[in-house]
Amino acid sequence: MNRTGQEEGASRPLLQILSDSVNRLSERLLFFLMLLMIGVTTAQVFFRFFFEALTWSEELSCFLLVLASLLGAAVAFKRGSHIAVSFVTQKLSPVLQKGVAVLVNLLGILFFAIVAGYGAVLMKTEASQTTPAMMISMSWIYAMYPVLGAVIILHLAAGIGEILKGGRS
Amino acid sequence: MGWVIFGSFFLLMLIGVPIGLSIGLAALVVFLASGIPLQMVPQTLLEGNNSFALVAVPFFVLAGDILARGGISERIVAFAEATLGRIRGGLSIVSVLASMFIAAISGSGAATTAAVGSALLPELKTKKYDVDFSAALIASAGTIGVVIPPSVPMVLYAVIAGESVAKLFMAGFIPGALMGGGLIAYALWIANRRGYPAGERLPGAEVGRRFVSALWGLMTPVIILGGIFTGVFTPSEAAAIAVDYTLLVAWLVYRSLDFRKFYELVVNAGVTSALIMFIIATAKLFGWGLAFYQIPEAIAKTLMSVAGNNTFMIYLMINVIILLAGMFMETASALIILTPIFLPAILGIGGNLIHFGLLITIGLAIGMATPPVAIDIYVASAITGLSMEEISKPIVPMVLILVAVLLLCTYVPSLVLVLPRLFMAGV
Repeated sequence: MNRTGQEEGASRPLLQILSDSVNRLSERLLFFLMLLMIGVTTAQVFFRFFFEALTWSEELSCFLLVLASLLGAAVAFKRGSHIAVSFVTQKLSPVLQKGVAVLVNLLGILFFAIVAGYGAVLMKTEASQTTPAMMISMSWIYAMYPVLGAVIILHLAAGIGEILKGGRS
Repeated sequence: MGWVIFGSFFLLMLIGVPIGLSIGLAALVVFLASGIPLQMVPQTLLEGNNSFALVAVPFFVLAGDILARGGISERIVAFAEATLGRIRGGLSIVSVLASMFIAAISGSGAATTAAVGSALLPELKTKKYDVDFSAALIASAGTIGVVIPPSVPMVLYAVIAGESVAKLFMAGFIPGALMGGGLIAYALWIANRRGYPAGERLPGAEVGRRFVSALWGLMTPVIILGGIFTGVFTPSEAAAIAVDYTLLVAWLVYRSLDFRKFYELVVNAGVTSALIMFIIATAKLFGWGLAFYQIPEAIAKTLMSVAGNNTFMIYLMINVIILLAGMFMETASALIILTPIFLPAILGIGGNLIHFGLLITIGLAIGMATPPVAIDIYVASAITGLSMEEISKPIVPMVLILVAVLLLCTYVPSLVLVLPRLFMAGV
C-alpha cells in the first residue's frame, strides 16, 4: 500500500513503470465498474416499480461483478493486500523470507498463466455460445482472463524485481 | 490421495501464498493428477463469481464504509449517547447498542468496529473509562456486525449452501440481540465495580436536536431490512439501494463526502470485495477436488464415528473447529472453506441449514475478536494506539460471553429459527 521508493523515478526499471501505470488505469476502471454495477442494479429496481422489469440487468450486473472482481484482484496483487498467513514466514531469516516471497510470486505467475492461456482457448472454442439474456458472444466474457491474467502476471513479475532489489519483503 | 489436496493447501498457505491462490493451486494439483481438462479452470472461476446474490457483497462493503466515513455513524452514536449516557457506565452501553444498530446497516465486523470506535473511543478516554476495556468492548461488539442483518458472511454462506439470503438475515436478529445483551450486562457489572462515571443529563432540546440530525441514518435499516423482508427488493437490490441512500445522505445532507474521499472508498470497497470474490472463485475449483476424492463425505463419516453418532458431540466438535479456524483465518476465507466441508455432516445428522448458517456465522464472527488473526482487534488497536496484546487481555471474558451465546444457539435451535419460521415459508 505504501509506495516507498517512487522518488527513484528515473532509475526504475521498465517493468515497474509499466506495472504502476497499468495499475493506475485499473483503479480508475474499477471505480467506473463499481458505479456501473450500482447504477444497473438501482435501475433494475426503478424499472420494475415504475415501468416494466428489465430482462438483461441481472445478467449484466453479474458479469460486471465477475470483471470487477478479477480487476480488483489484480489491484490487490499490486498492493500486496491479498489475505495471506504471515505469522510463519515472519519467523524466517531475511534471506529465506526473500526467497519464499519470490517463490510465492512465481507460483502466482504459474496459476495465472494457466488461467490466461486456457481463457484464450475458451475465447475460441466458446465463440459460438452466447449469454442467455444479452446474447453477446462468450468470447467477450472469456477475454477478461487472458487480458487481466497478463496484468496480474505483470504485477507479480514487477513484484519479484522489487523483492530482489530489497524494496519489499 | 485425498490428503494431497489438503496437504498442498496448508503447505502453500503456511509459506505465505495468499489464501485464494493457495486454494487455486491445491485444486490445480488435483486437476493435473486426475486429468481434468484445464479449460475447466477459467470456466469454473467464472461460474464461481457469476451469481446475482454475490452482487450484494461489494455493495454491503461499500455501504458500511460510507456509513463509517461519511458522518452517519457519528450522528447515530451521538444520539444514542444523549439518551443513555446518563446511566453509570452509560457510554459502554452506548458502544454496544450503537454497534448493534450499525450492524443493521453494515455487513461487516471491521466496518462496525471502525464506525463505533472512531466515534466513541476518544470520548471514552476523556471521560476516564479504561481505554483497553473500552477498546475490547467495541471490538467484541463489532462481531455483531455480521450477525444482525445485513451480513456479508451470510450472503456467502447462502450462495455456497444454496439457501435463501433473506431467511438467514431474518434468523440473525435474536442471536445478535443475545450477543449484545450479554456484552451490555457484563459492561454494566464492570462499570459498577470500577465506578465508571455517569454522564450528565442533557436538556430535552439537545436530545431532540441529535435525534433529528441522526434521523437520516436511523432510517437506513428500515429501508434496507424492511425492503428485503417485505419482498420489495432482493437482498442484492437492497444492497444497491443501501449504497445509493447512504451516499446521498453523506454527500447531500451531511456534506461530509467529497469526490476524492468517495473515489477512494469505492476503489477500496472494490478491492476488499475482490479479495473475497477471488477466494469464492478458487474455492469452486477446490470444490472439484473435494468432490473428486469425496472428502466432505469422509469427514462426515469420521465426525460421526468419533462422536459415536451423538448429535450433541458432533455439534460441539464442529463448533470447536469453527472457533479455532476463526482464530487463525480471516472470516470470509474460513467460511468459504469450511461450509462445503461440513454440509454433508449437518445433513447427515438431520440438521437445519439455516440454523447451521447462523452457527458458522456467529462462530467465525467470534474469530474477529480472537487473536492472532482478529480484524476487530486490529481496527480497535489502530484507533486507540494500544497494542493487540493490551486489548486481547480484557477481551477474554467478552469472548467467553459470545461463545456462551454460540452454544446456546447451537443447542436451542428455535432461538435461531423462530423468526424465519414465523415470517417465512419453508424453513
